[in-house]
Amino acid sequence: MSDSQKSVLILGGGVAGLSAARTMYERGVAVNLVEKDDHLGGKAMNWACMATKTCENCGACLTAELVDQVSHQANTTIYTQTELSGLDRNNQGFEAVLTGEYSGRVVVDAVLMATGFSPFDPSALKSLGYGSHEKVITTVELNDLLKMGQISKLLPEHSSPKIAFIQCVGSRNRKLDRNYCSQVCCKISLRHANKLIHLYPEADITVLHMDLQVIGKEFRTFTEKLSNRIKLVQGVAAEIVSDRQEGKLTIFHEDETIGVRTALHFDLIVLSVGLGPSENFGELALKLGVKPDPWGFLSLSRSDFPKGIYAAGTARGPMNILNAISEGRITASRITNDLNIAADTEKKFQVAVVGAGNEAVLVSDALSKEGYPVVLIDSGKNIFLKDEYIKHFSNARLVSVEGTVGNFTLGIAGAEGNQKEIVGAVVVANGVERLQPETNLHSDRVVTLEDFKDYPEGKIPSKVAFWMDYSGPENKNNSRKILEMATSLAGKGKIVHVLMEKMLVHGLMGQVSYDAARKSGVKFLRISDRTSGDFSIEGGQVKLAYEDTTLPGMKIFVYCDILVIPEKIVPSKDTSLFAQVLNQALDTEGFIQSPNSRYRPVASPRKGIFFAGNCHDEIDEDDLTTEISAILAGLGYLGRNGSPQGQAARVIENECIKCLTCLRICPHGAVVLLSSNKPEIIPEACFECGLCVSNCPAKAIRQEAFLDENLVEMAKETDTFIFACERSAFLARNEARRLGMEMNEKVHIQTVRCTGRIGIENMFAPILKGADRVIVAGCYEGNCRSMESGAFAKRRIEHTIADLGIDSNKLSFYPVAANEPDKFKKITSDTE
Amino acid sequence: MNEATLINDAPLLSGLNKHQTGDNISECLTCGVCSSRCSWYDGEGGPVPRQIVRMAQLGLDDLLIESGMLWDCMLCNRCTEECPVGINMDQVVRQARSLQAADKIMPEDLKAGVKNRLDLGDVNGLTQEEFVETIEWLSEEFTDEVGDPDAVIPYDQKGARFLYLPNPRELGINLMHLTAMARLFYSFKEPWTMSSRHTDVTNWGYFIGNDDISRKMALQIVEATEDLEAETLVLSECGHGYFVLKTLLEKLIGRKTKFNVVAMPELTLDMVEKGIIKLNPATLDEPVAYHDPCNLGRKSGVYDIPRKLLAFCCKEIVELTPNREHGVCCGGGGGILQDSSSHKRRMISGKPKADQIRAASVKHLVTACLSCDRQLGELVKHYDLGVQVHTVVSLAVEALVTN
Ligand code: SF4
Ligand code: SF4
Ligand code: SF4
Ligand code: SF4
Ligand code: SF4
Repeated sequence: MSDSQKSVLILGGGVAGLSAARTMYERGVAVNLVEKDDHLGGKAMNWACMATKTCENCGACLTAELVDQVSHQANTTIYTQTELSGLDRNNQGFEAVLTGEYSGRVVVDAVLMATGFSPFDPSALKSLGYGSHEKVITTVELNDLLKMGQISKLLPEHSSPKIAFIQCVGSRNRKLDRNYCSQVCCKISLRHANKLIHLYPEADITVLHMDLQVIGKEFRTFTEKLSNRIKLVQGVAAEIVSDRQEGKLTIFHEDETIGVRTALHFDLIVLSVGLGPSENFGELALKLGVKPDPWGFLSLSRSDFPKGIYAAGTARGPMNILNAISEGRITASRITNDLNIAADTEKKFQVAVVGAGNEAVLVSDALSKEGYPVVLIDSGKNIFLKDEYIKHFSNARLVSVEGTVGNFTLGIAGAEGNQKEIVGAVVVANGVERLQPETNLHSDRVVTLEDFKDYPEGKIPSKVAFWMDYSGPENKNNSRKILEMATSLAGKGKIVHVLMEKMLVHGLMGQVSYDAARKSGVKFLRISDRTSGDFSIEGGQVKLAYEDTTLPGMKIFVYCDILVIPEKIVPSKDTSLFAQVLNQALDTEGFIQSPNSRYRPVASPRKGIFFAGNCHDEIDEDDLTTEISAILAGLGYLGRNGSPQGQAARVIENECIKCLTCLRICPHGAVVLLSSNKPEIIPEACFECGLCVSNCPAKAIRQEAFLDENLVEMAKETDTFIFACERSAFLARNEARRLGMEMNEKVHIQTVRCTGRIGIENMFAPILKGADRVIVAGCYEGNCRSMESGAFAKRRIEHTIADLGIDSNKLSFYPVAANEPDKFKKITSDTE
Repeated sequence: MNEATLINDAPLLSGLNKHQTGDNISECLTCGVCSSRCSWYDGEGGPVPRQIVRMAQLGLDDLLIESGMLWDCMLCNRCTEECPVGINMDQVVRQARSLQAADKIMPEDLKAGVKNRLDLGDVNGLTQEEFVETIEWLSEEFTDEVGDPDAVIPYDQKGARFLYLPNPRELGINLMHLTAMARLFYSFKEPWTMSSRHTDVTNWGYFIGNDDISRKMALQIVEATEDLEAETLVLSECGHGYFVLKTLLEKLIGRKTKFNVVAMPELTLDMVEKGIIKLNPATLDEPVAYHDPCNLGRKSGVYDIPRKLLAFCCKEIVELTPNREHGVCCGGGGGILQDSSSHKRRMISGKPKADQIRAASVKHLVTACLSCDRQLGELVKHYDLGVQVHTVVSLAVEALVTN
């Protein structure tokens, strides 16, 4: 590296810091990573895998993978058990004083604060008995117990433990100076509940919540399914009593059906603790000259940071693992831009934006502003475009996509017939469609949200009601709009009612807005089941009839002058067409979505294809801005050459029988057909999974680093031979070692990029060489970077066992996530 | 299914909003915290605090009045303690009790007591003549007992340093308590007096939620104290009396007073600490548990004073769990005790307290409120707890070392 190489200081080795470090490395920036703990990974490193039969997309296992990558990357110095004790600005950048295991000074061009969060410590809330009852634990401890396989220690012998989760502990509470929603804890608890019910199918699980933050389509489906197996109860508890029933913990709660107080008894109670700023964060911020928000986070806007200082991840406010990873990437690419690194090394190829509506325009504008030539393929007609440099196909459709990243050929069917465009990347930003709400009642007193937005002020009568979830479960965007309108109307002296099952308090400011709305007198009516309410017209007024969650057994009537109901939100017409053309998946509700947490939020398994906006996820304007940044960060990286580790598969020309299995099977669209009808693998698009190698009937595809003979080279008369995916099972083994778990030592491990590489002959080779049994251990279904690849290996083994009548002890497949050290230990133990 | 129509300008909500004391009721998050913390626990009947708040918020006044919850609520504010937006149940319930429409559910005993107090200065209807008669007789007895002509129970003495305001029970069925207090004052060696005009530390106007009446009752005392030019108004051990006459007083009457207010435990402790009196620490040589009266503890923040005084009279204090700001109501607060028909209900509302006492395995239980004292005594009997109940000041009198 030259003397002029830029360098950064990253404070915090959690997911945000790690993903930033990774991006920095990819952009050629030297990294100094400072972590006060003795290992990298931060809080997320201790999180358990939430997979049941399939991956639940929590993203926790990606931490271990990032740790592994960053630990081995060049130009990176890692200082563990070290902290920043001072920072001086010099004319180029900064001189940082580090103390701890390493004490000294490092000179850097920029500083990134990725210091993470602290979970709320519930011992401050005495009545919860945390710290005095052994069986009152937090979600943090539950994670630990699950990861270490020790949860059974806290549960009674019988198989139907009663477990409660109490939500919002240390969140949404003005009295504790924490009047914000921690955003992630509802999802965490529901995933935990799902995991526990998987481990203990007879378990009786209750989740006590204020407003379950079920945001996003995928999570809605998940929750709906789960709600048949666990109890979701509105209303939390602030007191746990331990002496009412032998060995049980008791809380008092309103019975949901009759509304009297009743005692509920549990074997284990999990406090779903909120996220707060990390310890001593205030001091650190002071050293760096940044002023945290009133809660102690760095949610401030970019312009409020001093030059050269940045923040990412939960240091900026509560967010989930995947978003923290994405933020790390975004911020790192912002830093490289500011340091003027990206500009000369990146190719700015043409990018196609596909979609109709405002979101497509916003994306196009943003990309164009960053210097990407943009082609906008718009199936609508009347988009008003500000930027005349954007090439605009209006009333057109994307009908075919060929090629790979950096070199896609798009077929566009439009008014002027069929046309072709060559682009480097494609962004789908197709928006959503709003359907007129379904109601039998047509009255000018019932209007849609969109229509009401444009109501002239003078026309708004004195009593307004909004029915937030009339057309389907609460939607984040609608919730926010209704909250804003309701508050403003109440401020103008109107009587405002909002009917809803739950309030979605989105973002750091969501709770503050909700509090303001109530304070201004907006009344929130909690319908106990959104499908049970009704409305009619009576005496020129709208009469709402509903049952309130807080007043069971009562039918409540509300009169208003106008009722506002949101439109039903469905995928735009062409979304499924685009998914098909791009060879991408749709979710259960028909929105386009990357099926796998590794590519979220914006990328897809096919390199160079991105998604933005509501066509793939329930997002608001702020989120869209973040998504655009994430896409820009992703595009910047696409310009480089070759496959991830330079071990792309290769078709041996004269051995290929042109069966085109590889073309069909490649999960990443990395195989293209040459004019001679011969397949070729494009290294830039290949993920090195090896699926094509193990499936080619002519054995005409090679991966030099993973030749058949090399794979079993080491097999001797070991008891167990294990093929381990280097991103999952192998990392789990490493983690087990780090944690000092005792393991069966008579195991030989052969790592592979992906278990998809392992063909039948590979599985049998170690046995022929004398191994006692063979295990293939890879990712959970839905988590494999190469999608179906791991599942392929699994099926292959199942079929082999069935067809050849092999003892399943001899040959087996196990999904093991990188954060499942205990599982790795168990599957390799002698007794298994 | 029952039906109700939401009313936008219902009297309760308007009243609460007009007051703006405590927090805006519309802010309820419907989090349910209050319902998990009600002192009544899961016993039959009793209030469901979130429903109280919601009915108030949604203008369902009639439903609330008919629910029976208003006079089950013990105004203990245990629910309020952890409400994330600080909604004050004491205020909500009292405001609701004060509604015209709630008149029909007001216990007859409270109605009568309020009338007595306003007309005669005493809830039990003790007239000024009867008061004088009682005190003079009691004073003579006291003098004989002590054997000192200066040992008297004075009344209407202008310029005395302390004006003692007793609980009506001290002038009725518990005269012994008044004599005990006289003994303490005598040992303080300071001029003290009582007032023949207003003899009652309680304030049932507070229970019925009527601020005007409550104010009138408080002012009667304030004026009597100022007329007698006392330096300090000394309150008998009474939770809600302390809450009204100390914690709320200036806000309630809208002005400062010319005297200061202390409660008997505080004054006694002061005398002990100054060395004016001496207490025998072996008075109770078995562990003693202390019950925090809600109005004194949670609602007025007085936790340590009675405990400190108690420590001078006994060997060991054990804590009930939970205690202090999380302490459970004795089951008699908020006016329930004052309703003579409430015994059965109070044995339910007091069950959590009884369980707590039993779990503490003590032989003595001490509190700093004569109402709690009475309720605790009934609980002990009903649940056969085998515990002796004291008030901290009466224990101090027992512990008094005379030289
Ligand atoms: S495999 Fe990874 S992303 Fe999937 S549930 Fe497990 S930890 Fe989460
Ligand atoms: S509502 Fe918000 S703060 Fe409460 S548990 Fe759910 S995500 Fe966390
Ligand atoms: S190795 Fe995997 S990603 Fe690469 S071409 Fe083959 S199937 Fe596609
Ligand atoms: S009895 Fe106490 S805890 Fe229960 S509602 Fe009344 S004030 Fe709240
Ligand atoms: S604790 Fe407070 S905010 Fe929560 S339900 Fe009760 S009154 Fe409402």
